[in-house]
Amino acid sequence: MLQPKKTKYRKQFKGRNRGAATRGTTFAFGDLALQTLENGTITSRQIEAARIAITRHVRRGANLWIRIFPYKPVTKKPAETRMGKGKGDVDKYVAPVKRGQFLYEISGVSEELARSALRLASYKLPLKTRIVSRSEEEFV
Amino acid sequence: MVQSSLRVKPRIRIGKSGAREVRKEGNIPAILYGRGEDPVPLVVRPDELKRALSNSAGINTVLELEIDGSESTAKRFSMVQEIQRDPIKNRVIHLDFLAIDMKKSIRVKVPVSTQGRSEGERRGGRLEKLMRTIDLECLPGDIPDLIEIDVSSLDIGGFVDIAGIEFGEGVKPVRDGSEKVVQVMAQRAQEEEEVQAEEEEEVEEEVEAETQE
Repeated sequence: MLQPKKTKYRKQFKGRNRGAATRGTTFAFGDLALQTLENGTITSRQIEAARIAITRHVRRGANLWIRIFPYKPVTKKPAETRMGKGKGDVDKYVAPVKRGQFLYEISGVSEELARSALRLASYKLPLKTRIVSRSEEEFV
Repeated sequence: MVQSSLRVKPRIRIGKSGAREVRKEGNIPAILYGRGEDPVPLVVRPDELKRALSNSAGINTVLELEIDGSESTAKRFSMVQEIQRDPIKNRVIHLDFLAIDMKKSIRVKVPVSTQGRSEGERRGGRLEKLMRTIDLECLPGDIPDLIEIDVSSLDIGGFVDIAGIEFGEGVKPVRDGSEKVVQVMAQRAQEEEEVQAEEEEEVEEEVEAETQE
């Protein structure tokens, strides 16, 4: 699973995640992409589950790029613990995403196969997504 | 080269609020700059833009901007430098036009297209397009619409680099000639595939085990 190799600080504030994405909203590598339509966070497990769904479906010959990285630690207090006594331990890492962000890009297989693979991947994710193709992006 | 005309209006309302007003009216705020002249804020109608760029050259079309003024209509040669889009609605939200001199060379990105099915693909390989566009330097009048590469003779491991492409007179590539444009790769061996599948299986098992905990 994806997670940072090392972090400067172990725990982070929760923060807010508003507005639309301004970066990572265009194609960088592939021909077809999965784009999120909602703001939220995607955990490293969800990213991995979606990746496995894609690679299992396309079998061979595909190039896949993951455009997000779960850099943000999320803490959790142990079960049945009284409140207080400080912030809990790091439970998981998540990737905060804003609407418009490309999550996965794929190339090297037929469009039909790539679309069905991305559709399967979308079922593993907690946000509304859509599939976009490079040809749609080109003018006009 | 493909040339088309585009009628635009000068924009009086500049800045963020001005641009928003223009968008509210259904038009696109734009700017024309280059050649050492003062930048000119413009308003472009989306349907006119679509008509002007709907041709074989697409974004590399040389546009003759007809700027409607109160007294006279000025004409300027330009090309689209940048298109900003709304990432969700995919509509154009801003345009940059670069004023060009038809007698001075410019740099453009020209799309690459492959022709035919390679020998390597017939033998189980796959064709990888390493470049989608090639940066070229030429006069605006010499810009090719498309760079077509015949790949039918390429075997597995075979490639076409920039030096191996004929661009025509007056057109020269910006990047190094040794950079590959297309290459036929061998399919990964079956064993590698199986190892990868096994690894994935393990990862999934780990995930499941952790979830159960």
